[in-house]
Amino acid sequence: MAVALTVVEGYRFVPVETLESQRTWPQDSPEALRREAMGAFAHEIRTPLTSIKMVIELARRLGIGPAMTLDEEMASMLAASVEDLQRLADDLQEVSRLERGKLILLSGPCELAAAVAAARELVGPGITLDGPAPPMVEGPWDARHLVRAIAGFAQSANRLGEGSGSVAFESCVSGGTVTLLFSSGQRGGERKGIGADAGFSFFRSRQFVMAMGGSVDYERGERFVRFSVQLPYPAGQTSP
Amino acid sequence: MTLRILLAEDQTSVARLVQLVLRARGHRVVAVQSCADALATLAGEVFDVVLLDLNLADGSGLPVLDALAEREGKGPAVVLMSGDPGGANEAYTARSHGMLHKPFDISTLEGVIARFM
Repeated sequence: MAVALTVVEGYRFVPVETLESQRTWPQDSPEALRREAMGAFAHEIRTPLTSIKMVIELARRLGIGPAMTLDEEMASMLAASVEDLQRLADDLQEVSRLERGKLILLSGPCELAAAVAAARELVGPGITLDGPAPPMVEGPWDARHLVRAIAGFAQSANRLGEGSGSVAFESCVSGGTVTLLFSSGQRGGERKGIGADAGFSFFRSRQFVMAMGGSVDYERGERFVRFSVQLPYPAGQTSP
Repeated sequence: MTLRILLAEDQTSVARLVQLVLRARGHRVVAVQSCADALATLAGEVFDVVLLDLNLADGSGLPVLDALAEREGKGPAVVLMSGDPGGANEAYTARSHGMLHKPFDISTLEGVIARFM
């Protein structure tokens, strides 16, 4: 029987069939995903635009008066909204450059545990990745993009799942693949495809993983989601 | 006329600006950031209007609409806020009294709220 390696207070073996059953679901077509990605992007730019429109209209109504604290607050809102737009524009451009072959990712080496730790930092205190420590493996992955991908999947899983801020995270090694599992919520309800409500972070993260030679599967219910991310882990790759 | 308004919006800057505008008009606004908090607040307080974002951190807002639909008597008017102009399906719109499409401006917000005064 083939086995996969994972870590729960040390290494233990898990039947590979178990992993396969966790990541084999009917998936949306690439074109459908592309449409949803565009929808997610269009959706997400509207919130910072709302703030900008309202601040401009408020400023016009109030004029430059003695309410300096309000002015400062509005300036902060404007700055935050512009930053959100800038981040979205950067993300879209990066995905576009990847698709056009204008951006080539590094081929490692990258320590999985270090990438997960950095992703935990990046995603912030509002979302936690809960689960056993990742195996101490080093793969041919672009560290910077892997960190952002892990953080992005965590954000999206929280958004599509129960929204509690707690995302279950597991990782394991099986032959030529490292699998990362993100899940939130309890299975149930109607099975759904990935929609724009996954957030652009999901689609961006998926593109990063695909550019590293990996793949992403998903299962989604009413308030449940599980992402299965497969990263290439070539035979002969050694632990650090 | 002063309205009691529940605002469910998880984007801090939008929530703050909507509160600024509505309070400047004399309305009483209670702001929450999640479906769970909206449901808890609705269970304990009476509101005239609920401004409900359809993309909250813990859900789509549908549970809030369901809870309001199950109430006896006249409930609050529900105005949905969405960043997807075509995204609010019939399940939502049939049970709401208005829609604010992001990015909306202050005049539009004031106009929608004025309908319930």
